[in-house]
Amino acid sequence: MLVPLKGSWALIFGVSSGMGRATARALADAGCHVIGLHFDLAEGRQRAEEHAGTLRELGVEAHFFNRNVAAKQARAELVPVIRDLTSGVGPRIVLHSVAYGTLTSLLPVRDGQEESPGVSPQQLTMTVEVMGHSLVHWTQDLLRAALLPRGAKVFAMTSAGGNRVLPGYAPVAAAKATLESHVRHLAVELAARGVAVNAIRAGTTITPALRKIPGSEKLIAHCQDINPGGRLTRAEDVAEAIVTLSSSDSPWLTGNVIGVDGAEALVV
Amino acid sequence: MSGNRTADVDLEDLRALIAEELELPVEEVTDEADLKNDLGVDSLTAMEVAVQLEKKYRIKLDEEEMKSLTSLAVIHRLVAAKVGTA
Repeated sequence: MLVPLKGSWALIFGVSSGMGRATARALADAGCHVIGLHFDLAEGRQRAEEHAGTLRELGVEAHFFNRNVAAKQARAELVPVIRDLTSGVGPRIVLHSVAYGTLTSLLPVRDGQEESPGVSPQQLTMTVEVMGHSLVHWTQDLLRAALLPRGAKVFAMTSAGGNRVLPGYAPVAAAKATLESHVRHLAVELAARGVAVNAIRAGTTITPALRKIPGSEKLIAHCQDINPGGRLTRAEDVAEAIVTLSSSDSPWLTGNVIGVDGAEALVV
Repeated sequence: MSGNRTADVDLEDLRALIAEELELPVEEVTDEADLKNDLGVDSLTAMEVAVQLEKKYRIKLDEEEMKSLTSLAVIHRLVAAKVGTA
């Protein structure tokens, strides 16, 4: 059954840019209140606060926190805040859209005069922790606090790069593969509670995170060329998919990796 | 007001802030210890430090400045200069 989103709450990790930002906007347009986490220096923080202000102008509540999503302390402090804001109900939508990791090769490479030493154990661990495991830590803590109600939808942003090879993407690819695996296991473990968990595999989308990937211009040009829909994916495409999937109270669509890419991955 | 504005930023306060973010004993954060090579700071922890510096000293840092934060002494100089011109 379709249930209006108006008055429900969304918890968005990575709310200050890209898919997280666009989804916050689309959910707010549908009347959904937003609790957002982001992790930015002053300039980014200011932009995030402006975005929160824009959401409030739409008549919803928007509370943004500049915190490291992977820090235990952030969960300890914010879970009670989430409980209070949602009047003990918890969020109906949880979106994990976190892009913070090391972009490098696994092994040393020489590119002209520049030599990259390859990924360090610490970089690999940090990237997988932030972009992968943090979904599990938050889900555990929300469940423990009884803040994942029946009908809740958990979404995690993955990418085609999770099971392909892009230069300099290896640590993030490992994180995405981990994230997709966590989605499958969480879907099974939460099925009896009526909570759906899915990964959204967006097509190549121009976001601040994509721009940081070495050689992203080439990838953008290539995907523009081959996308059967004739254009790149936009953050708004992803936002609309999430709003649509969140509008049903059925928990049956769960455990999937859902492509939102105009069929790009089928032709790459 | 004139004089040396670095006095506004207490080195020991700064050492304590960094030690807390790094979850290290204060004595390990020596003035010249290299955050990355000696204290094992990765880019995420550096970000945690930078965000705390911005908050505590009401300054703004950009990504390049964050990357230049290599030791307590360097951080002290940068923060003092920022506070001095704020």
